[in-house]
Amino acid sequence: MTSQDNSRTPRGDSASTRLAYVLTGVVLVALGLVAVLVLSAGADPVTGKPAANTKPAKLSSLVESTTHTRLDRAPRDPRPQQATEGWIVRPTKVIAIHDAPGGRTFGKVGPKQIGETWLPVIAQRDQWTQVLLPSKPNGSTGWLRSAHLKREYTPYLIRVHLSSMRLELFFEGREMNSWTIGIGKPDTPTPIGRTFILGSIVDPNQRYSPIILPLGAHSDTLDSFGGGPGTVAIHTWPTTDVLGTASSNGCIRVPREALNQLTKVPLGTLVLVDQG
Amino acid sequence: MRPRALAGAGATALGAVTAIAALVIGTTAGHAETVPSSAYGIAAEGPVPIEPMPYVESTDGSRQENSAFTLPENPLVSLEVAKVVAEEEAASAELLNLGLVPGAELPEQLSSLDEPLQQLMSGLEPACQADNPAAAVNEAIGDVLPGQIVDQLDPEQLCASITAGETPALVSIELVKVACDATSGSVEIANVAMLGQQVQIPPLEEETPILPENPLVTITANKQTTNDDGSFTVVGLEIDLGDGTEVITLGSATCGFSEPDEPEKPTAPPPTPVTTGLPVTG
Repeated sequence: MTSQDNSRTPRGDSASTRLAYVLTGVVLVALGLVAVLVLSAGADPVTGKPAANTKPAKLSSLVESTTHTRLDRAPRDPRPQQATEGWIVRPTKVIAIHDAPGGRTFGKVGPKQIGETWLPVIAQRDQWTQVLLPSKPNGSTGWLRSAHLKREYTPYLIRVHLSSMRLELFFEGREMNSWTIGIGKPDTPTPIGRTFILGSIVDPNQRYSPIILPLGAHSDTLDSFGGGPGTVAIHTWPTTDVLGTASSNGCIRVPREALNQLTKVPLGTLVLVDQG
Repeated sequence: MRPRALAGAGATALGAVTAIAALVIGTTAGHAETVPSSAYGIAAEGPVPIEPMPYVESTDGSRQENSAFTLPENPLVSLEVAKVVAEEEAASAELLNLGLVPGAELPEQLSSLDEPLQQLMSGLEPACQADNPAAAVNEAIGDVLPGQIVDQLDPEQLCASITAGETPALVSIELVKVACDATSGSVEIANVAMLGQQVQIPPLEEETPILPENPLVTITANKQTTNDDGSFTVVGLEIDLGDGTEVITLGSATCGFSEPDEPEKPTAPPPTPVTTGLPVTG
């Protein structure tokens, strides 16, 4: 008998024996799968720490962070007046948003909403990235797994000063231009804090601005406005008399020349609104 | 065969430290940085100053050379040829036939050093005429220049030259060669003579004291320094006359570096407006 002969299944095996082999294999594979599931649910694969929630996040049950939604469990922006290094990220697929690196999930975010989703990076820790979110309430942040993010850089920064009603556009840290603007009325003020350019839209239902730049912020006093969620935006206005006045419902009204420049600014660019 | 000593391992280790420091500097600077390489043959600080010469610097990484066949008139140092080269992350200096205090007499500006020198010279003459010249000469030298190097001097030969009225250079060196590159530095010194007699010098580890502390002259070989700008300097010989009164540097090579340009940030493009209805606060 050759060694090749030894490796063959004996012709004399009964059907029941073969069935026993198959069943044993199935049981072993099933046990392996169970072990993997238990391990992945019980510990964070990046930090190795026990996950706060013992079940993997079900994306379908999570609310997506958009300008239309509200995620009250989102951590607040810890430094609402601080400029960033200019990094912006875009989820490569719909992913869960966590309240801390390896922490609990409270929402999800995908690569598209108004247009492409680009979010400003405000912190990095290990394999996690903290971003500003477009959903309510203002100043919402969340932690995303860096592995699922495309990363780019914006050299721009927009600063809005409410008291002086000025908007400044910075490029690589240098002020390029500034304009007198219109801001929200005292009863519908433009919200203060750190937000970002969420989109660039042509709205066929609006005639006051050729392009509107919705921000990641919402009016603090209007839950909804005109059928929308109260999204604050940068746009022009048909007349220039609104510039230098507090006359809007929260939006930032800019001269046409300013809009021409601001529409070249990448999505995700930081907008810092202060009282100054 | 020339007695040669090479400085290797110590220089390589320091070079590696320098390279790491440069990397750190580059990272935090956040932009391309070029620190030039340079070299010079001789320089002196003190009552008899000598500006670095011949001097060469490469600010753009291209190879630059300079040489000199004479030095400005001075009583301290003589040499026949000095050649220096600087290029990207490399530099070298080569000096031929150096003489230190060639007339074995110190200039007026260094009169404070004259006493130990005169003590040496005036002590030698009677020592050579003593009953046991060898012991007397060794004692006379040892009073001023202690150390193993000086122990190598042959009293009879020394007395012969003194009797003949010759005035040998305090120190003469046939070759000093200093070089550095991005990660290491080396010093090569050949044929060192003191008072006209050849002496063996120890292996040139980093900061090798060839002549230890004494009131007349200390000589340190292979001095290596990491500079504030991240560049790395190797000095062939540093000669200290009179405990810091006059410091002469022979053969200096400084290696700079070029940081690569920072990897380009993938700058996001301007957005393409999307036609959609989104009522904003107006």
